[in-house]
Amino acid sequence: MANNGENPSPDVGGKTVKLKADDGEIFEVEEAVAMELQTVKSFFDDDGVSYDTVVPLLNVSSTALAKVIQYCRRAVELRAKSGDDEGANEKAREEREGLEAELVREESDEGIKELILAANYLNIKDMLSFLCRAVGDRIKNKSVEYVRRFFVLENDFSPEEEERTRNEVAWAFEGVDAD
Amino acid sequence: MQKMAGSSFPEEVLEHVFSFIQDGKDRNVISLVCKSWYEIERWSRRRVFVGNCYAISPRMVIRRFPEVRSVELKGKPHFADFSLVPDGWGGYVGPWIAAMAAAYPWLEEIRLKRMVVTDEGLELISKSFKNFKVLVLSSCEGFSTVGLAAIAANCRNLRELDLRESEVEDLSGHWLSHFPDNYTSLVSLNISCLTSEVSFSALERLVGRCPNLRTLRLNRAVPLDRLANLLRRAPQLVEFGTGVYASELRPDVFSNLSGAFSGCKELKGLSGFWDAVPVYVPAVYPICSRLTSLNLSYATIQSPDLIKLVSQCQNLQRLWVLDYIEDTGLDALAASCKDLRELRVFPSDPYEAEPNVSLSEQGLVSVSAGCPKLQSVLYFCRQMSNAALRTIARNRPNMTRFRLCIIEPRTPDYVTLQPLDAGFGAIVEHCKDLQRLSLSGLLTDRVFEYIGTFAKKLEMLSVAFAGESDLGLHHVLSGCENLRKLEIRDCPFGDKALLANAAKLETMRSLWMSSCCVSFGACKLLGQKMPRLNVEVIDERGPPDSRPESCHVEKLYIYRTVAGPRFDMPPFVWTMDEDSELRLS
Repeated sequence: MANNGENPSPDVGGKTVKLKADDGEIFEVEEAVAMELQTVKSFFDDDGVSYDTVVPLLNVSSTALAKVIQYCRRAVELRAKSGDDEGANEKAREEREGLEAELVREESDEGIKELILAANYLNIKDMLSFLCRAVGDRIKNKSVEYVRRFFVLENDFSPEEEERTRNEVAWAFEGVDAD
Repeated sequence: MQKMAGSSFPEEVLEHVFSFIQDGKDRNVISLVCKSWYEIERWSRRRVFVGNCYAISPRMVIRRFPEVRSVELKGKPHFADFSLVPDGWGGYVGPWIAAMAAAYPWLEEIRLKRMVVTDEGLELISKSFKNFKVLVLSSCEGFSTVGLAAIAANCRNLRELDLRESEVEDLSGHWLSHFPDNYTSLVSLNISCLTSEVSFSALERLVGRCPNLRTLRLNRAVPLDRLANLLRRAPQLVEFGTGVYASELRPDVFSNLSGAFSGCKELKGLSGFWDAVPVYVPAVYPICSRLTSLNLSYATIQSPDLIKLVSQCQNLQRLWVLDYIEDTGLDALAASCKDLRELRVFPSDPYEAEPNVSLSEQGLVSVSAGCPKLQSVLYFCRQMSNAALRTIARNRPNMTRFRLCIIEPRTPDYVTLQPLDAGFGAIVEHCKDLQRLSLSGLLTDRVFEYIGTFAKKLEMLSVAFAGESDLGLHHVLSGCENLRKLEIRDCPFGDKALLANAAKLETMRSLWMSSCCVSFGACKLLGQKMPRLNVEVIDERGPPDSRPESCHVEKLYIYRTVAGPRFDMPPFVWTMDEDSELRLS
């Protein structure tokens, strides 16, 4: 069982769950954190699956899984902090937004795409949402070519189709500021 | 190893990413990436902006974007605001409403500018869209309060009703009472353009039962002594427009009003103030420091009172005011309002030959020096100099919209008696992000050379009584790479520049030329050569082919379109198309 710096042992005393990344690395995670991943939650919701079973996450790299676990751990902590107190809620919300911003800021384009696919596969609603927003921000105010490169996509329009769409778009739908 | 290719992004994830991208330009980019993205994007686009309602047909929009929730359309060209577009020219929204009623049952928002809307259209809107929320009619016409009654009665989920500057046939104020008693979702109401009295008790009840009301702009007919009651029922207001702001001074009315204003802790914007009298202006002093927007363009108060008012508005970002403010008032503005972004100074008496106020170029120079964030200017005045324009340009290279209206056409630099070419040249040279420019004063072809050379980000240019020859027009059309809208009146521009730059016209939204020197023959040629343009000749003297081809047309409106020529033209508008015969004379 690998146990490198990215995968600190959970506190003794809580129930844990084992998650296996695509390269075989096993991550032992507190149950509350593991249940943030809806895919994992569904895995155990099935009758007869014991909590000792290692959950195979074949589509997620260990790098991505480590980051996901790190985020979910912090998210669970922050949620525990908020309660009835509006002030505490506000503070927790700000901290969570800071956490999200930091995660996004540090990621390369490749990294963020990998995280989105992981968050989607693992079905983590909040994480998927802020990651999608972050990618949206990265492709705003950019050219068509830039967006194609970002997503590694080929232009499969014929020249005539492309020209027709460009014209329709430019002539009908582009805006100029208010009079 | 996990595959990294973007093509492995599932459709629902892409939709999720796209849901954070609302800007039309960005959506257009997305639609061009590849075929599958085109499809995903078109099914998920919820907001459509069509800058010229004749550039595309409703059917084409609906076919491409089947799930739209919000539509914005613009109709008549901008010069319609100066009565240069004859009545009946077009801009009818009827066909759009009919098509959308069938295709977009979930439509929530309609925003129209300079379009002709009928009562039938409003009634159709009110009955076709169950979740209808926002109706903004900006400078529209063709409807009456009967149509408004239908909207009030039937749109259960209405949030916004904004009639800004529309011309409404105001049959009675009774329409307001058509909002049902259990209707509580109003967020924004702007009836400032209406002339007749609305029922005050209906208005008070409406305001009182809508807890989310943020914007309330009353019409002139609401008397001053009614304001306090309304404000007290809506202390959460963010924007408020008074009615007539004049009354005999009564201490109880004054203190009641002042108290009511103070009670509105969120109030950031004020407007209205028709015929404002100085004695009641101090009623707003308690909230001045919170104001970011102040529209005093109907307030007839003089400079000393204006100075006292604006000096207290340290957070002001936008000021619209009459030239009663004078240079001294603008000095005070420059000293007090360091956050000012937009200034509009309107003429109190534009038809008077002699100046009635002490407002000159100095006021604008002052503000340009004192307000570092000033980006947008509309300034009516009677004198200007190249030196002042140069100073303004150097002070404010961050300017993005600059509209100068020297009231008398062809007025030279009042100091040197030279044309104002160099001054405007300085503006375009220093303000590298300038998007919008209106010229005035005595101008030769030179100014257009400067514009063509420097104004690379310019999108909209308005020209009147300027230039000497086709070279002027040629400089602009060949130099301004980002030009979208060009409107010209009374300039000696003709066929040569237009025909030489025909291709440029396909990259612009529209070109308007009136009282210029463009011949009917050139219009026909243009219409023939450029099938993707609609070349409209507007001439109230009768059919242009009843005159020689070399005869100049009265007005010319050219716009790019994918919808082909329109068929709703009045008798005085002709579209030059491929079938036009070019007779050799």
